[in-house]
Amino acid sequence: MRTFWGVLLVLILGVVPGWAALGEMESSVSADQQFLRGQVREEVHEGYKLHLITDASGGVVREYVSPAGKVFGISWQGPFVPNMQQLLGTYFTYLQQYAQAQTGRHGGPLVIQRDDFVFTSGGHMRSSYGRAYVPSLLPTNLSPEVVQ
Amino acid sequence: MRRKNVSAATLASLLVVMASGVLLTSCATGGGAGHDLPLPVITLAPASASVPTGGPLQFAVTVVSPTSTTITWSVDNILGGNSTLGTISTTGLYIAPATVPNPSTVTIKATSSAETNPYGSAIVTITPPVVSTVAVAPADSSTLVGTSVQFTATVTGTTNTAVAWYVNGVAGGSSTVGTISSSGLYVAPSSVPSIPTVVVTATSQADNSQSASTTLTLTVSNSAPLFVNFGPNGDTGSPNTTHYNGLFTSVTVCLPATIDCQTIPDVLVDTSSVGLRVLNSALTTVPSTELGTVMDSTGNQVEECVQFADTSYVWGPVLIADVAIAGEKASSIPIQVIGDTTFPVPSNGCLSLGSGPSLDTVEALGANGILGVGSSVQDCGPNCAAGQIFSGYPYYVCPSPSYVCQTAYLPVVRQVSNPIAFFAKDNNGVEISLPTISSAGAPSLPYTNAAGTSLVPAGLLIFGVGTESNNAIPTGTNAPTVYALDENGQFEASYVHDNTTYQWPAFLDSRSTALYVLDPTTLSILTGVSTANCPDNGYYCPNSTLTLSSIGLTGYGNVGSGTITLSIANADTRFANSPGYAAFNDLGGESGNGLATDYFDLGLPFFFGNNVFVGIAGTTVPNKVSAPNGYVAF
Repeated sequence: MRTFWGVLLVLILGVVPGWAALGEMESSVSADQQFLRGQVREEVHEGYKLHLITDASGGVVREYVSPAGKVFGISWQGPFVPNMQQLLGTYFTYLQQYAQAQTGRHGGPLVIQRDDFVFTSGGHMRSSYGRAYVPSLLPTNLSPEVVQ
Repeated sequence: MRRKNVSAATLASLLVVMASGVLLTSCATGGGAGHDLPLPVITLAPASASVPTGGPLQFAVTVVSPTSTTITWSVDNILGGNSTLGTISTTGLYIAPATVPNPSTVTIKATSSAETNPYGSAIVTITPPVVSTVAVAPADSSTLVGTSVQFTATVTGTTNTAVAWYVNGVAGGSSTVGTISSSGLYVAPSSVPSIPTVVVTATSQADNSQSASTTLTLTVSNSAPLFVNFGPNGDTGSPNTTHYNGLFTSVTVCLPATIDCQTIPDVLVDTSSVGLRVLNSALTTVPSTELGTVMDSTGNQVEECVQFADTSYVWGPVLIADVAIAGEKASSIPIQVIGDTTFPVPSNGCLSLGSGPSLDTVEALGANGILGVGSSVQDCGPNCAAGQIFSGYPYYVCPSPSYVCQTAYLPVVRQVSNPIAFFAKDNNGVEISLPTISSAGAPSLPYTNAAGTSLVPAGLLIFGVGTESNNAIPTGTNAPTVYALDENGQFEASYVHDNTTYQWPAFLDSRSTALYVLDPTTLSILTGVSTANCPDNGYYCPNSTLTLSSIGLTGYGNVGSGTITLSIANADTRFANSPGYAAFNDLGGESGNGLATDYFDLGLPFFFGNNVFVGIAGTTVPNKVSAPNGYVAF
């Protein structure tokens, strides 16, 4: 259902200093690539850019970058839950805080839907998937559904 | 006859009491009333009392004017009493008879040996026994067919502690459900009855309105009982912290190739993970320090960090143990011991650390361990054996001298393994069979009331698929659908709404406490039932119970297709209407926050009333369909 109007650029980025994380500038994507030891592909879509980092296990991390150059969303799919501290950056504390507020459920997914932070993590052993985005960083007129 | 005596005694008693003051007064005034010596005045305390059958009652006797006299005790004028009326000792200790006499009152007399034999008396009413409790042990146990179990009944409140024994309401039981002797020795039948759980009841012979019941689940060597309850943390009284729908069994851990074993109860049964993980604190008689160690290629002890979907995690060493469940045993397999603090959780790895809780205590885990019986042989597989380390990688070593933990490759044979795959037989998968429960829920599985008149059976975890008479996948009209799993252990769920077909990943997860499916907005649209999350506990609270019917399921490569129906109730209503209940078949919760990210995590509610088969990857499917990654059938 998703329509790409074009994949303009495919490249392997070099290593640059800095951390890639939700809410940070695009340049930080390379740090994620380094951390994840994966290959990066960059796609330009209408209204946002997407970096796909694919690692040796077949796991994929997608980082969604706004025209302003900020990472507004992240998604992942792989055998195990990835390093959230790495992917979420300063928003890791939001995860910690909101995860503790959800107490009744056991053994299933984690879903956080807040005005300033949206997060889902689900799946099972050998298959983990989820996404996180910051509504306030979402480019104008872009549906959060693009982060998937 | 006896009534007359009682009346006379009562009258006499009153006269004595009244007379005592008069006589004392007359003595004080020096009147002899025709006697050279005053007669003793005798009173008993208590003057009247009730005592249950068999019960003791101590009387105090007061003798005045003079105090020197010999006292003899009688019950209804029988010296020392008898077994019908009760007995009384020379010190005034009355012991009521074992049964209530007719009439139920007797007269106790303390009689002086002085002239005219003055006496004091008291009235005792013997009441039926007060059986405050009957208790039966062992509670909610299991045993192999053909074996025996010694039950004991503890009766309090009466000296008559005899009980009558029943199995499924039949005195002495039967050959079908097992027999029980007058001494409580239960002998199991030779085969598992159609309902594998039977009710054993002990009824007090002193008061047959008082009884206690417990359950006994009958198994064979390839089946273990499955319990659903709140687990070791119990009912906290708050839905926000109580662990509902916990599926438990017992697992025996042994030092490799020895008979040094420890049976660990309350281990969660999990179809969505693989391998046995036990709390270090639960290993007491078989300490983790005596289990075999697992080394990586550099000779360093291997540790593991497993992150679960909700970002909680477990950390601890990979160790070698024999793992026995029911009558099956996996010899020398790698397990994980959780909460061994030899090495701290690495801050440079196991890196969602801090987002979710570390499940390293009974309180945090809600269990003593997790038994992963999913569709693969190892928890990680080839990805962890070589190649590249990826984010969330589970295996570590923490070598000297720094002891800083770092990721490490581990050959698949040393990875934490599915115990079922390493049984000597019945090693190609499991069947999980849980009984149907009411939509109102059930207190637990198994459950029986004190009278033994209602029963919710335990479930069964049966090892092997198509390997024994008890684990064949049915054929014919009762045949389940076999769904091949994709390389991620999943199949596909679809739903048609307004001529649009929506599709999501789906998997079975017996450790999930609810049907974690879709999201409130999507559910509202698809079912027309306004749905929101409950305010505090994260389950669904729809306005009314909603039904998702004709959910399509499709296996990998189109191997297996069928439909299921899911019902999701208002969780807060369920909890409020069924306090103390641990098992519910229609709890739901959100899995994502939009159509694109939703999926179907089919938790424990899906398993009630179902026989679910989980086939391990690489095994031959009984009906020969292609399922290289394993399969599920239901």
